[in-house]
Amino acid sequence: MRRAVIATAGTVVGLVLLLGYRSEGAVKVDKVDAGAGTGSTNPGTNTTLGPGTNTGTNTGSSTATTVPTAASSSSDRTYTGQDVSYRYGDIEVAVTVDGSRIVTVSVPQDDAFSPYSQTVNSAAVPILVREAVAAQGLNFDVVSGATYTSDAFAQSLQSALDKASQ
Amino acid sequence: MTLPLGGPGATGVVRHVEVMGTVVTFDVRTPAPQVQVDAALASATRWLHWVDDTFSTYKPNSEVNRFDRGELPIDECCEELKKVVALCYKFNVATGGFFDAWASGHFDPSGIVKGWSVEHASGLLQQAGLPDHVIDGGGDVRLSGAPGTGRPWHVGVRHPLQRDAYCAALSVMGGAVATSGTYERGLHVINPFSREPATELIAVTVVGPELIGADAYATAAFAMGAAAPAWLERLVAYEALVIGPDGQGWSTQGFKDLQSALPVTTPG
Repeated sequence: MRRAVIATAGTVVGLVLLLGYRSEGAVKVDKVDAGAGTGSTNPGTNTTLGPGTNTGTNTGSSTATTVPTAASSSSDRTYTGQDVSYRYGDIEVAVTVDGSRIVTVSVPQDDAFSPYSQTVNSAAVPILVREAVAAQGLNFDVVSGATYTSDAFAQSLQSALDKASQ
Repeated sequence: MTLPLGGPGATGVVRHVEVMGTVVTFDVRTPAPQVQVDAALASATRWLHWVDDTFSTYKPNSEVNRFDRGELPIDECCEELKKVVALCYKFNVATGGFFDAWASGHFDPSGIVKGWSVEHASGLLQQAGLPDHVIDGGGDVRLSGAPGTGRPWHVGVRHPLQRDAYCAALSVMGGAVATSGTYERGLHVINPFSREPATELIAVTVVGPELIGADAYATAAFAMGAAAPAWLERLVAYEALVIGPDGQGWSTQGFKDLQSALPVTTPG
């Protein structure tokens, strides 16, 4: 099992956040250092959501993208971060937690993206769903076509985590 | 469940750098001492930050903005800025005017700078004895050497409408893959003739021998809209996939060939 690591360094929010993803489906916070002014400790290893870190299984027509998956339980609670504007749109990140464990990270709102999904028949585009890709034993070295603007994602995620920890 | 990341047998050193408003990921596959890899990646990272400082249109006193405001004549600019200006002219001509660094009314060479700076970073790694690597500049990728074990690179093309899905899987021996689309940055490509954001296409992916051209051609084709397929068909050494507003995909024969090298089926 390969382990993907999502780490976000958002100097805007003074946060060093490292999310470790395990393929069993659970995401747990390995390290959250939200102290003011801690900033980034190692610029060379800063990571943010990039191609390949999007690990969800949501393949429906919804624009929401669920990142990790785990069986939901009655103790799960979902917190939605602030709607953060970035250069080309807005982004809103939601986290679902079970105790101190993050169950899912999703993006229910992304204005730069959603208008197109409503007008386009996405079924017409050939789709290689990641499960299908994995089932064929095909792994990608790299992915072309980018995802979210990192700062906006980190900012909204942090505000969701702040709510969850209150 | 296996993640479609890293490729089979991938054992590379992966490093991420936040720069130029995006994330650049280095994935070095050449087996080498850690100190050698660290030094090479530090050098490439310094280069990218220098490029950001020099070419950022978001930093009022960057050299590119001083040049744009007429405060700095071209002959007083650094050699790199002269080179980028020359590339902007070159690709403006090569794309029939659809790649236009002046489309916004100001000189904004961002559409060239990312591909050009990643190309140079790839060269720095090669010079440092690390010929096998991939650099991902926010979804525009440069592949050098081999990923290992003699196989080709496997490149996914993210589906423009479904973030967890792919619309193409390519098998390439090297070169570059660039994607221009509304899903990454909203309506960010200006049609230089209408001066309006380009909205006719959903995404354009271009595969070629190097990233500067692949990136510029993807941007230009995106601005062209419905005329893009006929234009892309005439390009030599570059192959392309176009996703139209109706969600229909179109690709050059060469692009199909790069796909058919992989054992892929498309469900549905």
